[in-house]
Amino acid sequence: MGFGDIGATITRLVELGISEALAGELRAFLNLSAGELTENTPETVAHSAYGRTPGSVQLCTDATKARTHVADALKDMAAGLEQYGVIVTDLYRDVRDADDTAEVAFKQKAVRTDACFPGSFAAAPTSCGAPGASGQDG
Amino acid sequence: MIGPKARMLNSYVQHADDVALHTAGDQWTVGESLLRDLAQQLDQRGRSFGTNPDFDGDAAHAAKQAFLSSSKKMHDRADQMKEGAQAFHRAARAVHHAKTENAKLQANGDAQPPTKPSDLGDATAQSKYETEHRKFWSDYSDSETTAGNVMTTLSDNHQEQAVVFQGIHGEPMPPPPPGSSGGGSPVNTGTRPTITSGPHGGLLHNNNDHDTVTIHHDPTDGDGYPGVDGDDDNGDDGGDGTIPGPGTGPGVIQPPDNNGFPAGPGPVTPTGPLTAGPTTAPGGVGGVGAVGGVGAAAGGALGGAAAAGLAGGLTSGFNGGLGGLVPAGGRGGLSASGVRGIGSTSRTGVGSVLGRGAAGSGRSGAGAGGMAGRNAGRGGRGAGSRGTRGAAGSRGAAGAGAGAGRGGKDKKRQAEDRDLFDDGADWLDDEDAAPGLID
Repeated sequence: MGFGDIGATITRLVELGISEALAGELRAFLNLSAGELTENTPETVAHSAYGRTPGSVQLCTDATKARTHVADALKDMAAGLEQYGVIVTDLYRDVRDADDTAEVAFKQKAVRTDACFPGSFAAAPTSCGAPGASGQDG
Repeated sequence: MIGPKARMLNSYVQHADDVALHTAGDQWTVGESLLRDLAQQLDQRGRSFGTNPDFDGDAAHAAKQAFLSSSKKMHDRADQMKEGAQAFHRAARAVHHAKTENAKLQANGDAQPPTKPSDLGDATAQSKYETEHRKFWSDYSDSETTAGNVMTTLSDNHQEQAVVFQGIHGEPMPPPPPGSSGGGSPVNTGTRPTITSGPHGGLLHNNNDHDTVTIHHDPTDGDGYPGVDGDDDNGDDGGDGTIPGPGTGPGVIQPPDNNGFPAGPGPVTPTGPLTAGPTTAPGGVGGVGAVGGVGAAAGGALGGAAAAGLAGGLTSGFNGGLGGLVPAGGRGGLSASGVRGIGSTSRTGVGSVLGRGAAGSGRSGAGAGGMAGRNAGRGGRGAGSRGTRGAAGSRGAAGAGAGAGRGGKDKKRQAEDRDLFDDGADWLDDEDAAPGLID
């Protein structure tokens, strides 16, 4: 990318719609969305609500398990959204002064962040929110 | 007069809460909508990267691929949450139906059989008595049939919805506990053993291989609920035609409660909020035992009317939050500054953030087809296969026990002369005979 002239870079950024303000807005949007995901995790349903037939017991068991997986996945996805917020900022910086090393790191970060979004609720929980996980090192 | 099945139905559904299940469905719908909206947003953001010839580097391409990939997965998860939401609503409707029917049955529970007139010569009184007598027991039978059907319908429906959630959590079914016959479900989910109906109390004809039995069966009883008709309480109704002897495994014969009939899966005690850790359900397949370790927290921060509030607050709160992030004038401010949104047009990029309500309006169309297919495909995991597996275990246990017992007798006979009056029908005093099944 290598924009030597900062003035020209800014001009191009404006043309592209990439501004620091917009990058910040994007990041805020992603962070807000992440918060919504975690805040709107479905509640657990009391056992008694299902009734007490054998099928009720089975349904309660499976619904509760499913809810646990969903909650874990939502947490991971929320972490992923936050990390995408970082990526958007990096992307903005990258437009200005990218080098090969930064570009490689950026791509790796993008791939790791995408891994926060599970291919299935059944997938094992990731460590997206853990320190040092994707997006946390950049 | 409340019959045993009606009482059982009452015990099954009196604390069931269809409103809570609908609320759960609503919450899952909120999650589905949120995921779908975010997926759309990510998709739009991702497609905006690298579309301009001046901005098509590897970094932009990597970001685009990541955003699009994540968007697709979020969309798929939204579909799954929709399936879960629908399953909750179907369960809620089934519970509502069961409770409604139960209320009708309980309302008629005060009726008592007519008293036979003492004057046997009063033909009118006798005729009236006979009419009332027949009507009473006809109504009683109808009530019991209804109760049994309602229980079966509810349980079957819940089993179907459980399959939906099994598809979501993806955890393997826990193996049946060792020594269990696996037929503990009081609701018939498998093939009943060979039965002949007859007017008299039945004799269990044991042909020594435990493969074929003939038992008395109440013609009015067609649902296999144990403990309510007194004739097939061995709890193996989901089995393969074998009736094992009593005590073939824990949970097969459920202890009666204070009313003299089993109360189904047993008392369930919430053990606290569910944590992120894996959840296990002791008792496992076939509904043997109680839920046990499955934790749950009734109510919760959202409360009973949370869904509507969530649904409303989601959009407003979101937009409000965004409003604070955007310079005064919102989109106009951005446009006025000459900064276009990321993407091919500024309208798409920025407007989509602010206009989530419009974006979400068309979200409800997808997902249903996938659910139907999943249900159909997963039907094989239902109760039928579990019941068969469990019953096979019981047969093995019963057969082993019988073999050992007879072997002991044979050894004894080798050491002694055969008793003069021994007619060889040793099964009559066989310890392995099922006393509970022989009148």
